[in-house]
Amino acid sequence: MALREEKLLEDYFHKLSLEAERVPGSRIHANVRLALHKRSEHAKKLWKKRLWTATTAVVITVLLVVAAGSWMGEGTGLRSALSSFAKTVPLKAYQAILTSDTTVSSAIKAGLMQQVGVSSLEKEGHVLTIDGMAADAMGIIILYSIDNKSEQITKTHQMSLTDSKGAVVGSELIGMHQNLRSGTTLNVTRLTWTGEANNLPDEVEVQLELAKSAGNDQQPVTPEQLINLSVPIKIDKKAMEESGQSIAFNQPLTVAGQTIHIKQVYAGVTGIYVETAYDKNNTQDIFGMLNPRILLGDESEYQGFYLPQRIRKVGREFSVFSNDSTNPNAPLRLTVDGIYALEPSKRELVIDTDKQQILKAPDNALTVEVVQDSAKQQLIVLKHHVTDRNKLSREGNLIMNMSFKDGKGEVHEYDQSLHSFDLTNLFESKQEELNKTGLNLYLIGKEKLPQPLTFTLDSYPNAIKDVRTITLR
Amino acid sequence: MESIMKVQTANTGEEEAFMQMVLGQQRLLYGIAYSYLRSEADALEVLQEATCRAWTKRRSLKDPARFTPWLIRIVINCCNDELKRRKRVLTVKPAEPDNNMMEMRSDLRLDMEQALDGMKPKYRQVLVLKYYRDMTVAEIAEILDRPVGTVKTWLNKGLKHLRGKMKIKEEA
Repeated sequence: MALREEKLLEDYFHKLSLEAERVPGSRIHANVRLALHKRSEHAKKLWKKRLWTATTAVVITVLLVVAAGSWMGEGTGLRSALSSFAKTVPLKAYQAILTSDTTVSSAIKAGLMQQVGVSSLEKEGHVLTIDGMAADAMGIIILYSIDNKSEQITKTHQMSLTDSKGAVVGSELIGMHQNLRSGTTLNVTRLTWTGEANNLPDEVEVQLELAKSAGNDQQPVTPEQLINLSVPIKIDKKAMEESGQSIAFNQPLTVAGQTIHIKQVYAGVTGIYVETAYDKNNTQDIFGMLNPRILLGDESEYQGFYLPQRIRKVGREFSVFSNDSTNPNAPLRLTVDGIYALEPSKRELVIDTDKQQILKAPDNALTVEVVQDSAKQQLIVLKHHVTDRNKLSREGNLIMNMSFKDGKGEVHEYDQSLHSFDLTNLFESKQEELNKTGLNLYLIGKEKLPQPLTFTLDSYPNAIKDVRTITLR
Repeated sequence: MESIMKVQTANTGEEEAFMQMVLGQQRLLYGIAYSYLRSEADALEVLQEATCRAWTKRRSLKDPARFTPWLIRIVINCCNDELKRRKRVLTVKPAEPDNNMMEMRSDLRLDMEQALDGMKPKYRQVLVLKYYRDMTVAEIAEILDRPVGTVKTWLNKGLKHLRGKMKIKEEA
C-alpha cells in the first residue's frame, strides 16, 4: 500500500508537471541555445564591463534556430533576454491560425521555429514584435505581431529586410495587406533572400511598412501615409548555409518535346525551391509549367504541394513550393501536367486600336475593344475567351511586355495601374461576360497613335498537355 | 547515444552535436528544474546555467552513453545552488501570475512546498526523480552515481522527513 506521503507527492508532482507542460518547447529550446551564446558573450565582454551601466542601451540578444544550426537576433531595448521571451506571443498562438500553411505550421511542430520576442520602438501608437523566426539558405519565415494602440485602422503594407545602407536583401514571397484594428494582430510572412545567403551582411534590419489608409487598395500609398517600424537582427550565415538540404540535380525534364533543366533542388524550413532553366534549343518559348506540384512521400501516401511562387534571384529562376519540415527525409517528386508555351514567331500581337481589330495573334481566343473615359484616356480591353474560367490562371497568364511599337516604329509604354481610369461602368456592363472571359486592361494614354500597335507576349496561356513526373529525392 | 554523437560531431561540429543532445532532453531537464524552482523564468535560467556548466565540463564525461544521467545531475546541482542562493538573499517578490492562469494554492500544496524546501538536497533529489519523473531506484542510482542501497536510504529518509513535517502541520 502506498504511504500517504507518497500519494501526496504523486499528486503534487502531477500538478507541477502539468504546469511545466504549459511552457512551449520552443521557448525551452531558445533558452538552451542561448546558453552557449551567453557563455561566449560573457567571456568577450568581461573587459568591457565598465562600459556597461544600468541606464545605457541594453542589447537584447535572441537566438534563432535554423534547421541544423542557429540564428542570432539582436534588438535594442531595456529588457533582458528572458523577459523578452516572456512577453512575446507564444508560437502556439500562431499554430492555431496557421492550419492551412504547412510550411510554417510544420516548422513550429518540428521545433525549427524559434520563439524570439524583440520589439521595435513605438511609432504613432504601433509596435512591431518579432515573435518567431526560422531561416535557411534561401529565405526566412517571420512570425510577428503588431500592437496597435491608436484609434485608427491601419494595414500592413510591406515587409523587407535591408542592410545597413538600406539596400533590400530579403523580400516577401507573397505580400499580404492585413487591416490592423486596435489591439494585437498576428501575422506571418515568408521572405526570400534576394542574393546568395553567404553574401548577406552580419546584421539586417527587419523593416515593416504600415499604411494609414486602410480600406482602399486601389489607391497607391504615399510616403506620408506610411509608418515605418524596424527591428535589427544579427544573422548566422554559416548556420543558414548548413541548414536544409541541397540536392544536386542536373537531369533534364522533357515535356512535350521541350527540355527543362532542373538545376538545383533545395528543401529547407522556408520551402522547397526548384531551380529551372529552359533549354536554348527548344522549339517553343516556354512561359511556365502546367500545374507543377511537389509530391512529398511515397506513392501510397504523400502530400501534394501546389501553386508554387516563382522567384528570380541572381539571374536564376526558382519555383517555391511549401514544405513539411516534420517529414524531412521523405521521397520527393515533381509532377507537371505539361507546359504553356508558344513558338517564337507567334509571340507577336498586332492590334489596330482605331478599328478595334486584332491583326495578328497566337490563336482565335482573343478579341479587343477600346474604351475611353471622360478625360479621353484610351483603354485597351483585351478579352481572352475560354471554355472554363477556372483554367485561366492554372494554364498560364496572358502577360504583354510593357513596351509596344506604334505604326511608325516608335516605342511607347502602356500603364496597367489604372488608378486614373474609372472602371465602374466597364465591369458593371461586362459582369456576365467576365464569367467566361479573361479581361486584360492596358491604358495607352490620350494621344492618337499611328496604327497598328505591335505588342510582344511575355506569357500566354497556350497549354500543351503532357504529364511527367521525376523523382528529386 | 554514442553513435548519434559521433555522427553529429562529424557533420555539424562538436558544439552543435552537444546542443542537439541537450535539446533532445530539454523537456525532461526543464521539468526537473521546474519541480525545484516552481517558476518558469527561474527554471529556464537554471537550464541555461546547467547547459553552460555541462559544456564547460564535457571533457569530464568519459562515457557518452551516460550523457543524460550526467546532465540531469548537473541540472539538479544547479537547482540546489539556486535554492541556496535564495536562502542567502532575502528578496521581495511581487506575486507572479503564471501565464495569467492563477491557481489557488491549497494549504496542502504550500505545506508540501515548504516541506520539500526544508529537506536536505540529497533526499529531495531522490523524491523528485522518483515521484516526478517516475524513475526506478536503479535509474536514480545511475543518475546520482550512488549505490542502489544509498538511494533507497535517501528515499526512506526523504519520505520520513516529509511525514514528520506533514504530521506536525496536521497536529498543529
